[in-house]
Amino acid sequence: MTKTSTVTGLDTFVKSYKSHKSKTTDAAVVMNEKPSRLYEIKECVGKGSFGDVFRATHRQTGEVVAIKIINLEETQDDIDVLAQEIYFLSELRAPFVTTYFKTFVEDVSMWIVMEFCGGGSCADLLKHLPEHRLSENKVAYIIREVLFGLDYLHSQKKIHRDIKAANILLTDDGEVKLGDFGVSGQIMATLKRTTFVGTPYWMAPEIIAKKDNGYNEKADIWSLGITAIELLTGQPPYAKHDPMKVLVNIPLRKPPKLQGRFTGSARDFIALCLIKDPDLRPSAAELLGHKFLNKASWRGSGTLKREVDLVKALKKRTNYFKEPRHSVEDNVYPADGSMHLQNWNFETTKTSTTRKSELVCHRPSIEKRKPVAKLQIVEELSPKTETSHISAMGSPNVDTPTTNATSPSMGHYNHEKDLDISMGLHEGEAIKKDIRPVDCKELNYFKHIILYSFNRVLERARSGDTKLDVTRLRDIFEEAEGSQPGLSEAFVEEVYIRMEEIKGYIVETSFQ
Amino acid sequence: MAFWWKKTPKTASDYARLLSEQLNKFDNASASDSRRKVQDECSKYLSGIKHFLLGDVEPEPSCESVDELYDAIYQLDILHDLLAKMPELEFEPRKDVALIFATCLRRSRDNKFVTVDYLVTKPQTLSLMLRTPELALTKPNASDLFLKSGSIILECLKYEQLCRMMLRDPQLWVFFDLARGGSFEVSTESLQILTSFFTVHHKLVSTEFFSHQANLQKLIDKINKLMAHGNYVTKRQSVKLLHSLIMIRSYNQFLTTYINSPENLKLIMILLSDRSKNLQMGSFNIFKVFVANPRKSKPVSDIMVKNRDKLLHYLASFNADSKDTTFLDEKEYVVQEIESLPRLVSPNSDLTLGTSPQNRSTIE
Repeated sequence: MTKTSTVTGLDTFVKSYKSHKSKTTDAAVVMNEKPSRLYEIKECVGKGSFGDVFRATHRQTGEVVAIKIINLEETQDDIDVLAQEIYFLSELRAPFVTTYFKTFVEDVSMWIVMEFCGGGSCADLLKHLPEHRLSENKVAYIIREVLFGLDYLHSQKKIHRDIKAANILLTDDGEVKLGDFGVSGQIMATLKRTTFVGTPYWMAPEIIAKKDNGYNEKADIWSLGITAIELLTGQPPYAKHDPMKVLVNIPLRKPPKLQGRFTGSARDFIALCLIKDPDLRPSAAELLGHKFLNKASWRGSGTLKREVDLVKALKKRTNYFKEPRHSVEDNVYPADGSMHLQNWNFETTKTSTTRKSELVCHRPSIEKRKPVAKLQIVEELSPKTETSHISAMGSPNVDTPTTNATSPSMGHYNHEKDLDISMGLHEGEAIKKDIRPVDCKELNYFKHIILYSFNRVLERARSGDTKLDVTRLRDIFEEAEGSQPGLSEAFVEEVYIRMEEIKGYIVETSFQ
Repeated sequence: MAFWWKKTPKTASDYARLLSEQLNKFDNASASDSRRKVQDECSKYLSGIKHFLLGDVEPEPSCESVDELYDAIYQLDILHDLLAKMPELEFEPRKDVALIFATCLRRSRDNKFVTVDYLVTKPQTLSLMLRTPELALTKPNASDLFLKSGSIILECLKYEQLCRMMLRDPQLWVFFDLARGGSFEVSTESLQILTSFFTVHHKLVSTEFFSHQANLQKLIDKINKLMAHGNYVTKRQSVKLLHSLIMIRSYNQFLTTYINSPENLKLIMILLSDRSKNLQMGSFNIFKVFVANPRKSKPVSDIMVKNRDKLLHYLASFNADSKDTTFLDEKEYVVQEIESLPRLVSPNSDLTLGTSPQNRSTIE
């Protein structure tokens, strides 16, 4: 009986898996496809420690899937660890576990596409059903299906490590699937696990006790026993106590027992699961032969479709919904903006002498010839002369500083000495720090540089006369900019170029 | 599954022989019926061999019979054939193949890894192994197949002798392309393979791989490409790989070559200003090495000088709310170093005042 149901289960599973595959082949071929274009995110159906889970539909096929979205900027987990989890999921293909389909990366998030279990979890059933518990034959059905899943998992040397009602999922048809492998582990060949994971109430004593020899797949059997109590009574043992106290007590105390009016076979099954010595605790395969599970074939049990439908109706009536922790729309990289917060100056044409220095250092012969040849070309291309320079300011060429930079004229760089200001190097540095870099797009050369500088000079001017002169100069400049728009830009550029050229000289002479 | 052994009283080596026969039947089994039959047979023998090697059959196999099975596996070139026929196998048996490989590789006798020594004499098997993931991408179920064949490579790279042979195979460069263009699984596992290639056996890599300047430059180019053009995950993983390489003491040649190129610095600065905090931090850990270099190349210091103020401004608010004291110390140091750079000075600039700047500007 057991055997045949497993086999047919596998068959239908293989079929449904294949049909899914064929439906999503298009998506598989197009690499780096954005998942948000492929799927439409619906409501949040779960909040895991690793990210929110949403119901989603494929925009073209209408296929319903569950998508777990993990923000990789926020999560503490290493990407390697998450990748290992994905590999783990991709190794599971059985009708009793939720199937993994594919992972995408969009913005800074991982989208893990999984089989959707429309019936919610067994914890949802307990929460929403009026009696907050399930009958023995329903529980037997659930436990039997979970045991199939565990048997499959354990045969692959894998442990689930977080078996509880909340991680036992139900399809729309009321079929049982093992879900949330967030903390699952692989037992590497002969090594035993030593990591401390799980949820306190359901945790096996050997995990808590951290014995030298670690723990193995039997830890899942203990948790299954606790889950059986949870399903039958509505909550795990000691649920009213503080989880940390429970944690300490589990290894010390005798195993919990099923309290209340239940059959002997249910009691016996749970007692077997809760044998403290993992070596004496039966395996999933052994438990599958237990008489408690025969109840699963009792009349009227079948699947949990009736319960699932009831809970769906109840949720609808109470307008129940889950608030995701992260908004799906919160992107780190804006769709139409820059990927970067700062633009660096890597240009070698405008302000740098890198190219030249290379030429000077390594290819002197070329350097001698090149400028002459180039100069001729530039002069041919650019009809502008030194005198036409300023008058060209109003022309569209204003925006191309490289062109202007080929014909600058600045002979009176040290006129600034006429101003009554101290020009110490350190003060200069202090000024520099005060300057707030302005976004290049909005840079107004007159306002942000000329006017700014004049105002700074004004602040430093000691005598009233100086102040007056500076103000006058500033006003004249403003007037000139008004009648010759772009003048400030040209002026600033020329000052900048010249300053860069003579900087070495200034530093050298100032130390003499 | 253990009952195969009880039911069919064959010797251990018989299973290897039967598997070998079945694997070779795939070539002639074009009809889906016969292919299906061969698949089933292979699954059966693979599962049997796996349980036998893992020792979880009743009664536990004797040491002699286990040795006999290993010998048969080597003699019949089963590992080669398994790689070649992996795409033909079904989902569960493919997992068995990976597990059998891992188990074989761990087998040691008289302080020697027997399977490793065997594979060293089989360069064609290793060559096939490196090509299997790429070939997998053309098959149905590409992702699973890729992961499984990739995991076999990862197992092999744990052993220096095998890593040495694989480093000589130009196929290793293909994993950079796969890391950039593949699905999540393909891209992350490719990067894991590359990380194993270059960060596990330090001495081997520094003396035998980096000793060739061409290798060094190619590796840098390839990593840069991933950091510049990969998706978010690829960028983060490749920045991490680069950081590991830079931090490995014996990789001095690599470090020096990397931090002296202005192109590399530009890329790292671009990543430093990425909107992702994780990428910022990842690239800061590389950027600081550029800054700390006491003998910066001229083009590298030129870039820093030219961006001195932008850098200071950017670093002022960079991860300012961090409580990581190591980071804060490093940041302070980096800021100090940049502050000490000359402002707007380019050391090679023309010192002859009055010279028309035209010569300079027209070089471009």
